[in-house]
Amino acid sequence: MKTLVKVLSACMLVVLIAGCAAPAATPTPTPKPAPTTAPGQPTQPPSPTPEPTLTPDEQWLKAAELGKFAPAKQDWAAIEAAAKKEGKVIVYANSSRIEKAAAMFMEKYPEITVEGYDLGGDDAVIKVREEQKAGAYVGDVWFSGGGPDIFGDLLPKGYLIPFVPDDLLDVIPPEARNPLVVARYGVRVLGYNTELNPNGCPITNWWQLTEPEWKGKVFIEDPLTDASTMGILTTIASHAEELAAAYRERYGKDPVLDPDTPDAGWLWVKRFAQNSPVPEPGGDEVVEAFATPGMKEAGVGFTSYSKYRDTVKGKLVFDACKGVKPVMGVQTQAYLAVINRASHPNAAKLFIRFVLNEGFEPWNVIGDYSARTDVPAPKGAIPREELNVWTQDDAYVYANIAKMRDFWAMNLLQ
Amino acid sequence: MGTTITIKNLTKRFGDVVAVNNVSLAIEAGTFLTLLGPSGCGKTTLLRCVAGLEDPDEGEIYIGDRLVFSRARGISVPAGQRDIGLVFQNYALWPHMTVYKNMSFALEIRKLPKAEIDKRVKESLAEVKMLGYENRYPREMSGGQQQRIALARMLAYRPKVFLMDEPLSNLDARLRMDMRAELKRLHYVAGATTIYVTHDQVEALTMSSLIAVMKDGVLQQVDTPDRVYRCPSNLFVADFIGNPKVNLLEGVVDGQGCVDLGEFKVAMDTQGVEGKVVLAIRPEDIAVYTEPTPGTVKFTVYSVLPSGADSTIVARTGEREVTIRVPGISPIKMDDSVWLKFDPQVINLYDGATGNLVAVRKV
Amino acid sequence: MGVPEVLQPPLSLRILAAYRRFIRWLTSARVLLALILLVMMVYLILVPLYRMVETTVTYQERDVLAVPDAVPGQLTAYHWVRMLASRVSRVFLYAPLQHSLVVATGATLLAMFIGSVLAWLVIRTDMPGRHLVNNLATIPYIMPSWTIAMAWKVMFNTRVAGGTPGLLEYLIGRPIPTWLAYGPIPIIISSALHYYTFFFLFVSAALMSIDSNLEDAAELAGASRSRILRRITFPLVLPALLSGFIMTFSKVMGTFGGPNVLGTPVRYYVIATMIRSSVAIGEFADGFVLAIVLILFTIVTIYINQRLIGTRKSYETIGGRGFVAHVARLGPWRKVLAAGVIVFQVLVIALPLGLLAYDTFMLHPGNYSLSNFTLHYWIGKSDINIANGTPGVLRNPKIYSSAWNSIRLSLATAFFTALLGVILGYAIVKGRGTRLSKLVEQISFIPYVIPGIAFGAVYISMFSKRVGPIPPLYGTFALLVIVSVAKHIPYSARSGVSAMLQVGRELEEAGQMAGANLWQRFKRIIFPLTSAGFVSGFLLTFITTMRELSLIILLVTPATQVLSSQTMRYTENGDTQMANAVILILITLVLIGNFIIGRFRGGSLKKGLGM
Repeated sequence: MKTLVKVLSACMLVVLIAGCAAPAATPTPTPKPAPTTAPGQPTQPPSPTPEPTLTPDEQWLKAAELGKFAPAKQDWAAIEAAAKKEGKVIVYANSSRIEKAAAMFMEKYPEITVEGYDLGGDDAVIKVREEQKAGAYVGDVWFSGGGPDIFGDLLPKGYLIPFVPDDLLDVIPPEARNPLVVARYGVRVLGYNTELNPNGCPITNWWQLTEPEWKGKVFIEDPLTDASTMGILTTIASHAEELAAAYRERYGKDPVLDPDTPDAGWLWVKRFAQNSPVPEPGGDEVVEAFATPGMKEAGVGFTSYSKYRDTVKGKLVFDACKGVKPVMGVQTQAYLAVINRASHPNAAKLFIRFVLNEGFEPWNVIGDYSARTDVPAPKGAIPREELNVWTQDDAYVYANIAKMRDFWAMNLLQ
Repeated sequence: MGTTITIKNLTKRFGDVVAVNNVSLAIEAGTFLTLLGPSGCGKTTLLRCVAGLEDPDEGEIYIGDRLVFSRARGISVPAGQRDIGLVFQNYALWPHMTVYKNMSFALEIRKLPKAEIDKRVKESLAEVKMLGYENRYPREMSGGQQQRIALARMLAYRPKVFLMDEPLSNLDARLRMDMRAELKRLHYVAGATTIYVTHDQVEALTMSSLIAVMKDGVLQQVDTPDRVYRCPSNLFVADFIGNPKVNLLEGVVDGQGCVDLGEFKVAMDTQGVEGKVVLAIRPEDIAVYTEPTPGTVKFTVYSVLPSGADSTIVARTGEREVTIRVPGISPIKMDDSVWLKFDPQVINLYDGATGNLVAVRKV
Repeated sequence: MGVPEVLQPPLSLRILAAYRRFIRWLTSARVLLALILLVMMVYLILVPLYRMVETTVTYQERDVLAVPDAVPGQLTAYHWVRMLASRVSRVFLYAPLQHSLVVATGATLLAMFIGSVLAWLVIRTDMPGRHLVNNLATIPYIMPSWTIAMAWKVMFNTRVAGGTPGLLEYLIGRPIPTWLAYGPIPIIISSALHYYTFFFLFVSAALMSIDSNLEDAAELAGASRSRILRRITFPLVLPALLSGFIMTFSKVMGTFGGPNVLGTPVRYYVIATMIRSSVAIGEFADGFVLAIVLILFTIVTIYINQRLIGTRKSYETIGGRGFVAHVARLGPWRKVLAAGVIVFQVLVIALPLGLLAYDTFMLHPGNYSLSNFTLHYWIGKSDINIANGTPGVLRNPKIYSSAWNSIRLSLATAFFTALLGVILGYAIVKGRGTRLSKLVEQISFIPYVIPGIAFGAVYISMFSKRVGPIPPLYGTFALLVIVSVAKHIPYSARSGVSAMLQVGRELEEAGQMAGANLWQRFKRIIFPLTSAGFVSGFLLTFITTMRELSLIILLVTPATQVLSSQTMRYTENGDTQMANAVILILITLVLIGNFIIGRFRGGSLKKGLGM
């Protein structure tokens, strides 16, 4: 009798576990044909072919006039009216300044409430992915980074819908709106301590960072726990040609590759990792590590150029190494898009347009750049044209970031 | 009024141990039955089976005409619906409730009206002479007081059957004696059938109308106190009952109408039994003479323990030692010679091999 | 003479009888509750565990990048081979694992030493100020575990990690050795200083329950003091040491915060860091393999420990009669010792808090002069030049909503956990000896060994779809509560069992005899009697949840932002002063909560830990 009960309960247990644990068929929307990422290509002209039945996603697209149902010309009066009726918009951002922008938007459009949330870069990706999988369509606007995951994962699955206000097509170059419009650019640069190096940056060539003189003196945000830094390293590795040229410039010969480095890009990352760079748990720690006033020993570090603002305030003694070869640093993008099945698509469109216009103000500070060609960099900042930086190759990063993590860890900790 | 309790072939096991072994009892209404035995004999387990706190592995239990437990039929009425009351050894009063709340708990469950509850609580408290304690908490009372409250709690909802699990064992000797009288009185007044568990044979003898002696889960004898005392059905019961203990004398049937005890012989009818036997004679049944007398055996006094109403004398001859009880304060001194009479009329004879009663006393 | 055969009842009757017996067994209180609990725990604990294992043995979508012909969902040993036997195994698994073991063992032993000595001083000696020491001892647990690490950094920073030198180096004017500032030693010390509370509470409870008659007997027999300590006192305290060991070891093994601050600059990584790393870039399979290895190692260590000590992990409750045991006289050194101990405790508490507080008043970090003093981070209005325009914390409505969310989450979690605890205690204690009860108890133990971050990571995907009648919970407050309750099941089981053991079996049986059904017995007898245990479990969970971070960081959404994750946001944005101000608010709230809740029915942290 007891054995019977035992057997029954064991069976029940297994069934329960298997049943609950088996992931239910995820409702993947039919993947939209991914728009080409080659620069210069205009977006496909919308051609809504009449279909007998539309999927729920397509029905939504049609109602929201987005994607393949986007009209030839946007009717902003109608959009604004519809947005006011919707009354609300929820924004997922990766900057705390979203609050300011939200306040400004609500001043202009009092009928619409903005809920702006500052998530971390990685968290926004997870959040949207899980929400879409769950069918819990909460967010309306994507206003965040996460390029690799966007291009490798979210876009192909149709979780993000591109949207560009068509009156801005002239001032936003194609590469900044394909496939998603860039909200702002940030820059990670190699920085140095201006107090200890009054004559300028002690680094003129990146290969110096792999030399004994700088062993233990280069500070970076720990790539192992910060995905965006790991992304930066991966981007660096994708520019083998330029790094090879810089190598030749410094040492007068061609770089000799190791068996595990396919090109000069990966070679640089390897040598750099082997030169005892100091990982710091956060971006703030990085810049404090080499650019706090009153330090006695010099170091350099990779940090966001926006830290220069603190220099202006006197908090730090930092500046970017402007003339370093091959580049000053790596450019990062934050994108704007409408989230699939948003409940307030018109308010979303309105907000996107706002942020690309007067709503950009909170970010019009040193270290952040607008994608618009007609918006100059703020006073004191290096103008965008003079920025000698690499753009993050999101496709390459998405495909290689895991490999880079392995590569970095092995060479760092050997 | 009380009801009958019928227990049929009850067996309860705990793992490999058989705590109650095929016990059957038919208890008439109004009986005060004591389950008596040493610790571990299964008496408490049996009680808990009747209460419904344990489920036996075999057997049936009837309370009145109602079948409250049947293994074969898979029936087991929950404890709270058997209309029985239980007084625990440790009282089990709910420490966070007042005396009143302790007692009204069961009545509230039964949804009695407030006035009725009030009345019953007061009545039950009066029966145990604890009126006025309604608002006290258990921790504010002594052991004896708590015991009476536990009793009152059971009385309050007027069950047909009283079950008591060694209720007096935590009290001091004086209080115990007082409480015995009270309990017996309560039983008499209420007329409920009572099953009482104890290891104290004096308690069993003084309070019960029926005693069931148990050993290792098996019933040894179920009889009135008088018969259990005077005619124990085996050596275990004989030894267990009686204070001071019964004298057990081993000997051999000599084939000439006597039992040979070595140091002396006793002439008696052995009812055809041969071989090893044991004579059992109560200390008060041995006649003591201070002078040689025909038909007696000479013993030397080893110790004398006077205790007010009577005196206990231990006397020896050879390897034999017997305990005798005489009324009053005895003038006999240690090392005195005494002559003892072993009257076969008051001796129980037991089979030396099985320990069972073979020949019962005539008187 | 033969006894007539008892006729076997007909088959139909036997089946009916068996059926009835089964139903009765099924509906008996302890079985019913145990089964319900079992189902709940299967879903909350075993299913996530299963999902974790499943993820590690199947191809994930991302794997296509590394293994081109991988089919997502297909069974594979790829992840395990990768983590256990490939080129990356050493850096991702073996080295960090070794570091974790070193740190966990070291911290546990050190915490054991500190906690035991303090407990002995408080309970068994005549040291003055014992009462104060007793009260101070529970406070380190209330602070988030990495606050001590951060304070350590401020004190001991040295040039290897860049930045301005720490306070110590500033004071003595000479650089301090790297091993003192960063790496395993600081991690061990700072963890020990946080977790010694566990040992203090456990050992002091054990010492209080030792009848001094036992020691007296030994003394009369001629045993020396040290011998008594070794042969009598120590073995009686062993179960407490074991419990403290289990709790501390498993927690330190899974800790991320401290090692991140004190280990990263010297590239000293622990397993928790690597798990975080994997989850951060979406390599969940890697992370889960590491988590499973971590769990296994924790279980093995605990098992070995139990074997060595030879006691069960659950131990007897104390009578709490408060009899006075032998008190050792400390002689002329008493006052010095007392002063030393109190200074030590105050340092461990006040220094980190003080540094945090001081930091929040500094406009620019690193500048300790008074001209740098500002109240901006507390009450300043929004200024785009400072902290990206975030207003001071007391003016920031976000802080209030986060604080409210934290409090709500902690209260809800604490309530359900404590409730669950009482029910668990009932099912386990009432069924003592049965296999069902043992199963319930063993499963309830599992969340101990699962690192919080792995738990949270699995929960994301588990609840992102509808399950039967339960709607998808991702992003809801309910999910945070559920995952927090699940993580705290071991603690609630422990305090529940302990509370139930104090309620004698007969008290409930008396209720049964009176005709009360299960609900009535719970309501009128069991709950009132275990209320102290309930409140204590409530308190412990409240404190832990308020400062819990790694568990919920992945599940928190803007609407459900809590104080601890808010801290992380500020830290990531580089607003350290804001972050520290929020931490101070958090700690204050916890202290207030501790005080208020402790007033109810004699609940206390001690009882919450199951004593």
